Amino acid sequence: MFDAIVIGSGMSGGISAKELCERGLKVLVIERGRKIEHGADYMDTQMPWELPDNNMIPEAELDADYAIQRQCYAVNAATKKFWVKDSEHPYTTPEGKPFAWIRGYHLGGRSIMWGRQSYRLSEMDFEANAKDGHGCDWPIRYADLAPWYDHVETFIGVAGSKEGLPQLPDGAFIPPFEMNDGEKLFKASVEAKFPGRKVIIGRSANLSVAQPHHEELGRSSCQNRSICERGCSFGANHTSLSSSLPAAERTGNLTIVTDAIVDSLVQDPRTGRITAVKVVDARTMVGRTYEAKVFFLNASAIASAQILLNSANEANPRGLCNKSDQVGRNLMDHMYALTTVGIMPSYPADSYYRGRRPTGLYIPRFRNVTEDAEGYVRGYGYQGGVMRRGGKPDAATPGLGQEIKERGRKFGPWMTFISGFGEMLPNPDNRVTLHDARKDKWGLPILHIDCAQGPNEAGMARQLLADGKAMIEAAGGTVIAQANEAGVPGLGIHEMGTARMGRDPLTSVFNGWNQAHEASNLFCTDGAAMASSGCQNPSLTYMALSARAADHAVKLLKEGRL
Amino acid sequence: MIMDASLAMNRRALMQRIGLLLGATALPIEAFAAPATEATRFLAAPRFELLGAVADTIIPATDTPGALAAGVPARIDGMLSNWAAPKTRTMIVEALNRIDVAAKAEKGRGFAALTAAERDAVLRPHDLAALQKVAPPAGVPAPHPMSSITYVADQGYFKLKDLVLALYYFSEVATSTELIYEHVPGKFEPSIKLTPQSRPYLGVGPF
Repeated sequence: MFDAIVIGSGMSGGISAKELCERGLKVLVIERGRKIEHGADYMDTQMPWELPDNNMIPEAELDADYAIQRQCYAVNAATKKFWVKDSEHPYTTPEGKPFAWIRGYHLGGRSIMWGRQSYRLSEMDFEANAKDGHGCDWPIRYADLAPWYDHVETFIGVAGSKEGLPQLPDGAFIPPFEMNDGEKLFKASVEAKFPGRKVIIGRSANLSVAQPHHEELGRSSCQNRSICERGCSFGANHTSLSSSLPAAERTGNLTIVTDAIVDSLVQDPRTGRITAVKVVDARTMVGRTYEAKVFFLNASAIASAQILLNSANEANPRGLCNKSDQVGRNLMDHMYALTTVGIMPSYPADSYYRGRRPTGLYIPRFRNVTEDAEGYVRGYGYQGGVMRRGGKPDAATPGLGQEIKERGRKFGPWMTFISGFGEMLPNPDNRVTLHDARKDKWGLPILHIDCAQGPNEAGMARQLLADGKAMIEAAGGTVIAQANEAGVPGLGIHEMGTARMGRDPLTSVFNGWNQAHEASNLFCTDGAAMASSGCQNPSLTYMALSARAADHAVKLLKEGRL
Repeated sequence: MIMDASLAMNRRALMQRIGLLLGATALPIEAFAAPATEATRFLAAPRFELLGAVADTIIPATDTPGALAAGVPARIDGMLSNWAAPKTRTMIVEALNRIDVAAKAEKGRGFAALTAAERDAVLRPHDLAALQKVAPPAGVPAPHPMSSITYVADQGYFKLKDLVLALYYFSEVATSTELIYEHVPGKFEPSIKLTPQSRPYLGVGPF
């Protein structure tokens, strides 16, 4: 019998486990994937020529096993072991409505490969649903989460600059990464031409300067390699393996079980409390049960909804904690891949930079903040960078021999790329359900994911691209390429919303403490709990919610109220 | 490997880590560097020779070593066997064949049998024609702006040339002579002044 069980060891589960362990609870973390070791299982030490096949996965293998995962930018030979085989982990989508569910099943989950961009939601994000009527009102406001953002940022280490922006609150930052000369010029032009818009350095969970409490965990400063998704042997990016699980482990209170796929939660029909988790051993297919006093769902947005749906019983035929019928609904992802690329002919030809900084530029939201929007609610931010073209010459340019080498030795012009991340509205019709017939190889129902962007997103994408072009042009650039539509939903890898927080048990699944309305000792602090998506990269918010809920759960437990 | 003493970190712990990293690379270097013998090669000898001649013409030894010194033909041969799906393999082999056909038509001998100057004279117009941009195939959407996908007249030749360049530039030889690749830059220096001797760094990853 454990005090607490945390389902999932990724971004949010790692923090839940750490916070619960540090408050004295005996915690079991259940991970469906295999165990991997920090450092030993990474491919970040191999030189480029040591990677097989020019760091590409064999084509036939991509086709057979990675039909979905291959769409993710970070999938390559060096990271292959961190992505699920789609052939082993199928789900269905309606004809013509693709959804790319990008996943990694191993200890640490997607925290190993995450993009590290770390932004707070703001007051206007927590108020958005109440103001424009989409979704249900968040049961919390910025002030509820602010101290927990501080807490998590301090622990994980977020490099960032203080900007004083109401739509993107500052945090407890370590020193920001610096902009190069091209980026400084771009920033100056955009901010001068468009009052209210800001170009800032990306806030990233990479240790620009490791602090003593990071070094205590064996983490060291970022070496500016920008191969973070291979796993970082320096521990310079926050992941469950480099950071949260080691912190949990040193309390002596942590137990981890891997290769254990959660089938369902068991609820005591009399008290409503969750009593146990049923798992299937991934290797032996044998079922077993773990009991605890408190349960944290951190399986990731879609998988946490799947567990609740699969926990149906006679009294709860629609799934556990689902009287609201909101479990599995309101699936959101950020609009992604809305990229504009421009050449900057006037930028200084004699300036360069050295090292591969692990973050880029960020342009915080300005639509429906300092500038009106053309017929849609909410808004978008951009990630990008300004870099000099150079390095390996392009094979598509004709030429041979010394000519190629000379081309490679020349510095190309500065190039700007900015890629928008747009907020997607909560829509109950965007939902995941259990497939009525198909099961996976462990006997669990597979999911059917039915999700599409709507008219609000389409209007937003149009202006996002127009604004992107206008900003590059305002900075003296010439646009050379632009996406014409957002990527397939899911590719933002920010899926969320499938078991939302809210005040009303009739319209939401979890309350303002991420505690299930229908099961007082069940908490969910991954993306499932999000009542809206903002346009900010969400992992930091999941971690802050996890720390806050863990603190609250322990208080309730100690007061005998769980 | 370039370190910077100004970095605030536990230097001893860092050096230990780097020691581990270096130790960890010893095995794979040997594993991947094992030269394929003729018996273990994918391509039969004449075609492997053709591949070598083409790679050597695309990136010859000049003031820096070329594709042969970088072991590019053996790497491509390995990729034809391990990486390429049958369709890609056929595309690349057929692209090689077309170069050989052009050599025979123009010089009366196979490409591999030509002098370096003759090879250059044959491949140069071939390269120009092969890399003419064309529209994407019907029903295929235009590639994303950040994508490296390009549609040209001879897609097999483009793939071949792209592999020659990638395997050359990211080879152990070229990363220390042609363009520098720093695996562990250490510090990010946001502004450095270029001199006539400066060359771009090779990048991996998005930044």
